[in-house]
Amino acid sequence: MGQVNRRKVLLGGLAAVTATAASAALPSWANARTTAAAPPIRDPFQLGIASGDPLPDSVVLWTRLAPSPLNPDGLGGMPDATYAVDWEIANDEAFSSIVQRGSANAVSASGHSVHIEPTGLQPAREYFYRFKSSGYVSPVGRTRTAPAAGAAVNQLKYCFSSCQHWEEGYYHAYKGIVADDPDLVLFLGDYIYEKKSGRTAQERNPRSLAFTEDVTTLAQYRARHAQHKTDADLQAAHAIAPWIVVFDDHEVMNNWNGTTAPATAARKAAGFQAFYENTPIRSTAKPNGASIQLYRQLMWGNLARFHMLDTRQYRSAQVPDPSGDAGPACADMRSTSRSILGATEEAWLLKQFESHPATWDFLGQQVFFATRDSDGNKATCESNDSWQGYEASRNRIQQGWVDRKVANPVVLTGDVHRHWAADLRLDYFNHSSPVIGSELVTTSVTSNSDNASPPDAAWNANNPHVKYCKGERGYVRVTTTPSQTRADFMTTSDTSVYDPASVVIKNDRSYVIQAGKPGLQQV
Amino acid sequence: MKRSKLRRIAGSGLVMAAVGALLTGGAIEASAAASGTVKTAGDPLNVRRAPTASATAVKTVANGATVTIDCQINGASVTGTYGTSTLWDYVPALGGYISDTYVFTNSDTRIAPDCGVGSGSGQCADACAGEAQYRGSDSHFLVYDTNSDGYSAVVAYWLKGGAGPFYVWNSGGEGTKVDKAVSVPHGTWLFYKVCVANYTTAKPDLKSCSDGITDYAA
Repeated sequence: MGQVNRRKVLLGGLAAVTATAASAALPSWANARTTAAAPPIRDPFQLGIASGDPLPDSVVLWTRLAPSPLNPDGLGGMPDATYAVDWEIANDEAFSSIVQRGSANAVSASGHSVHIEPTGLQPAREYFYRFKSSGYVSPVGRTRTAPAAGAAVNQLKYCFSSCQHWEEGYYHAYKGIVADDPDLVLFLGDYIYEKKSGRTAQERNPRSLAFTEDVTTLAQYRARHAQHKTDADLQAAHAIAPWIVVFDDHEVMNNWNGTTAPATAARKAAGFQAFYENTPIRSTAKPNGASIQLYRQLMWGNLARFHMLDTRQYRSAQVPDPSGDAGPACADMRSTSRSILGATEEAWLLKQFESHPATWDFLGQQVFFATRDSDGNKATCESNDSWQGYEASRNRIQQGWVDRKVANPVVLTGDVHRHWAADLRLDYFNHSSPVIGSELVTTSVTSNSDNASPPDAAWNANNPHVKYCKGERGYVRVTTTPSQTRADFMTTSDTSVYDPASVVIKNDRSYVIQAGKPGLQQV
Repeated sequence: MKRSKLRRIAGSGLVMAAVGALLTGGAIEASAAASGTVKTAGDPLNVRRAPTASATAVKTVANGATVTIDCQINGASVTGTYGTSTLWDYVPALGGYISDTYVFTNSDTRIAPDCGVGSGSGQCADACAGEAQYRGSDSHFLVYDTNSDGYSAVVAYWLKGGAGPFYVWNSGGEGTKVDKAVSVPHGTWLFYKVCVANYTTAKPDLKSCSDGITDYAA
């Protein structure tokens, strides 16, 4: 209960600060000449604050100045000038005990975003942070550093989410995540959508985009990110814990790399830049044109290791999926010359598997990992966009962790807009092939699964390694200890209904995985 | 004990800290007013509801008048006394926009911030078949239908926190005005567009929309 009370107080305090800043600083523009180098602005903290990529001695602190966040020019109402952004890290939310402070410049070329990377923080510690700029004080965020390298850790609680199409619902999932008060949040892709909702049931969409064009330019990507960032529940979830974020395809374009019509370099560069500007990710991931170093590893003492993967940027071209019943060509899907990670990232991941500094290895990534085969016939293929479409690549990773004696691998997945839980096998067509790990797939925050029907008995018989599927909105809550990992599949009430008082968050299904004993056990 | 202490901090300490920081920040300091002098060939100058000569003239201002300019915005191109420009000046006292090409400001560059600064703003859609103004002082939308095209004029607006769009309709037909108070939290932004559409209580199919502008409730 203490945790919950503290959290509620924190968020209540944030609201008070913001309201005060806004009302006390009403400018009198009629009396202001604004030809100065940095013209006066209104409260620029309309996109909230965030922290991310925690290390034992550091965590990224993020904000982006945008007093008019929905402006279609993507500049958020910021004049073309440099603004100083002061930051503070404190031991307490009242900021009576300041640990570090500093100042950074927010410049137009970076969309007036700042990424602070303090060093010298204490491991396994809760900190509070805030920003000040142009006389305004940001909301207060709470963050946490990772435990020291090798430190014994009793428990880690984290949540993971994905796929939050703006139009298709309200972000109830983040109400649940805030209530869960996790140490960490993982986001596994589709933070924004580059295009309008394509769902048939348009009448179920409670929100509309401020501009409806498909985004292709940096200005548009910035404006689209900004609209997503105006969501109060998303802001609150960022303010409660550090996030570890990866993108999937919609941060650039549907299936942007791997189809026969990939995104242009200019479009990728624009998408990556806006992604960087809007996420609490380290400067090691600052894009270089149409290239970005997204994949990385993060440690949580001796308890957990996160391999955050990039299955989009380096993948071989997707195998065409012709209309009709034929399906994509299995010979191509299984070609050993193809990879979903690319040779460099595959080698990096396999190299990570050679050491075993933590009990649990979580592979945080985008697309479905286990095979899902409708007809049970190995001669036909499906799901060309997933790891199934890059079967040899997946075999190398799976065999890689088996050969390197990775004891407790768990794959974390987004993308598919439904909860799934599955065990992993070296051969998915041999139903007695030993279980070598598990996969936890989070449903979407909002993106719809209107046309998806639940697996039927025949499907389940062909896929006995798949334990669970739920086509509702939500997220997954994970509690990891040295002896077990527990996954709670959380669902939300109807995301088309705004009324906060009516939101219900439910634990639909739970599984545990025992350390040293692969396989999901339903709780 | 811990709980009550934290409540006290949240209830007053943080707020006071914020106010103190604001006072030291000095973001919004008054300086010389942005003003200009209307200069035409002698005729009065039209004041437009939105920054384009296609928008309805809401009144006129005399040659030689001094005007206080709250903000400026790029709109439709006009050729006037001082050349050709897309820049328009918003003059709250006149309730609309005048082309900067008829205003002597002693400057070739902008002298006021981008429009959407809380003192009012206007937009028009579909060659100004629909027009709308936001009045920040009491948070009202004024929605005008200026064309017998069979469509309603409608404002779509979004608010801080992620809610919206909300709609303000004028389905009264050509020449009518709807004046409606909208609830926007004190001091916060709203982003709005004016469009034309067929009236519906469901989500409308917006036929044509202005680019949109951010403004603020007083």
